[in-house]
Amino acid sequence: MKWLQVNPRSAVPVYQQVVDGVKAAVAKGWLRPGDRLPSVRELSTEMAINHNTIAKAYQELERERVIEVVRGRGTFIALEPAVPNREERMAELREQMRRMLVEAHHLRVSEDELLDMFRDVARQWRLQAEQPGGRPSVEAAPNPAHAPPSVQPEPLPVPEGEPPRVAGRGARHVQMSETGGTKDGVGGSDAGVDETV
Amino acid sequence: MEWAVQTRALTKRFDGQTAVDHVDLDIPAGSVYGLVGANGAGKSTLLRLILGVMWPTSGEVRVWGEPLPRESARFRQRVHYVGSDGGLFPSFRVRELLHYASLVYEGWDVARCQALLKALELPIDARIRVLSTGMQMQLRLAVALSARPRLLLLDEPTNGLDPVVRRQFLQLIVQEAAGQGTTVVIATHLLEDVERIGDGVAVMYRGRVVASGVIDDLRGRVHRLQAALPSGLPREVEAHPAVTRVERQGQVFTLTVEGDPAPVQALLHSAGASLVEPIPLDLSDLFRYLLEKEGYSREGVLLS
Repeated sequence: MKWLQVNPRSAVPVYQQVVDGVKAAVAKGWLRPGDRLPSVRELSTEMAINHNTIAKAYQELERERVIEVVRGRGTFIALEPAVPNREERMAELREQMRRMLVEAHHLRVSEDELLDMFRDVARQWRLQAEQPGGRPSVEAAPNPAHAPPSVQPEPLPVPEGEPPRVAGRGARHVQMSETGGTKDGVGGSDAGVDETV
Repeated sequence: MEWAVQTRALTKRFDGQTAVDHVDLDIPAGSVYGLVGANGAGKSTLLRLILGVMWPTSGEVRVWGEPLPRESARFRQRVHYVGSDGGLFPSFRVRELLHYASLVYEGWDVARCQALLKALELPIDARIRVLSTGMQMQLRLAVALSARPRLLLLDEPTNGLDPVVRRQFLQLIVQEAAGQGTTVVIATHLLEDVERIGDGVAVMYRGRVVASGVIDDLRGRVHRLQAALPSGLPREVEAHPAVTRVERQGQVFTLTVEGDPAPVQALLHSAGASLVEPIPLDLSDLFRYLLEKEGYSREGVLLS
C-alpha cells in the first residue's frame, strides 16, 4: 500500500512532502500511536531520497510531536498526541477557511453549499481511510502501545516492561512508494502528494 | 561547515575555448551535490579539475581544505571518479577486475563488494568487453563503493541505465551518503536525479555556474501570480521590488515574484483582482527563469 508518496519534481520542498505524508497517514489511521517508522537511513534508501531531507522531515515531525525518537530503539508515531503551537496553528486553519470562503464566493457557491461540500469531502476521506487494505501492514507483532492510553505522560512512548517488540531487526516496515516524475497519483492517495501540473 | 570541495575562480581553457569559467563552488562534506547543465556546459571538465587529472588554467581547487597534490596516489585512495567510459580493462573478467581493485585500494571492503555483486547481479565470470554499457556502469559503481572513498565523483552515471537499474543506482548512492558520510558530486543533465537525491545543486551554462544553492531552499523561492484585472495593473504592483516580470494577456496578468509573494498578493486583492493563488516554480522552471534573467538564450539551457 502506498501511504507515503513524494514527487521530487514538485515545487513543494521534499521534506515538507514527507511531513505532510506522515501526518496524513496518522490522521487516516494508517499509522497508529506506537507504530515504528523506518530509520532515516532506511527510508532514504528505500525511496532514493536524500538522507538529509528525510532527517529534516523527521526533525520537523518530532518538533510537532507527531513522532518520537527513542535512542537505540527507533522512531515511533507518538503516543501522546500533544499539540505544540496549537493556537498558532488553529489561527492558520481559520485563515485557510477564510481563503476558501473567498474562492467559494467567486465560484458562486453559497455558505451552505460550501458546508455540504466539506461534509461530503470529509465522508469520502474517511471512507478512503477505512478501506479494507487501505491501512498498510505496519507492525509485525501486536503492539502494546495500542493499549488504551492509561499511561501517564512520560518521556518514552513505551509502557514499562513492554519494550516495543516491533523495534527488532526483523520488524516489517511500512511499504513505501512514490510517484515518479510523471503524474500517476494512483490509489486515491492524497497522502502528501503534490502533483505538478 | 566542513567543506569537501571548494573552488575559487576556477578556469580551464582549451585552444581558446573556455570550458570552465571562473567557477566558485562550496560543497559541504557529507552532502550529495548535483552539477546540472546541458551537454558541453563544462560539468565533466569541472569534475576532472577536482579529481586533479587536469590542471586549471587559473584559479584554485581545494579538497578537504588542501590544495590538490602533484603526487596524487594517496589522494586517489580517498577520491573516486566514475565516468561513462574508462576505468575498466576490457579483457579482464569481472572477478579479475575486482581482485585487482581490492589490491589497489587500501580501504577495500570485501563484504560490501560481495553485497553489491549480489544486488547488481553482475556476472562474475564474464569478460568486461561483453558487458552492456549499463552493466559496465554498474561494475564501475561497485568498484567505487567497495573502495570506500570519502569523495565520490560521478559523471553522468545514470546514462544508459534502464529505469529499474537507475533507481537502484540512486538508492545505492543515497545509502552510501547516509551510511558512510561520503560526499558525492554528481554531474548530470537529468535534473530529476538531483532533485531526488541531492542536497545542493549548481547549474552550469557555457562553463559558468549561473545558479546554485540548497535544493529545498530553491524550491518555491520564486512564484508566479496570475490575476484578472479589468482596470489594468496598478502602478505600485508593477513597481514593487519583488515583481521581476509582468506578462499580460487581455485582462489576465502573470507576475513573477521573487521571495514572499504575500505583499504583492495583498496589493492585487486591494486593486480588485479576483483570487490570486501564488504558484511556486519548481526547479526546472526556476533555472530556466534564472538563465533567462541573466540574459542567456532560451536555446541550449533546457534541462532534463
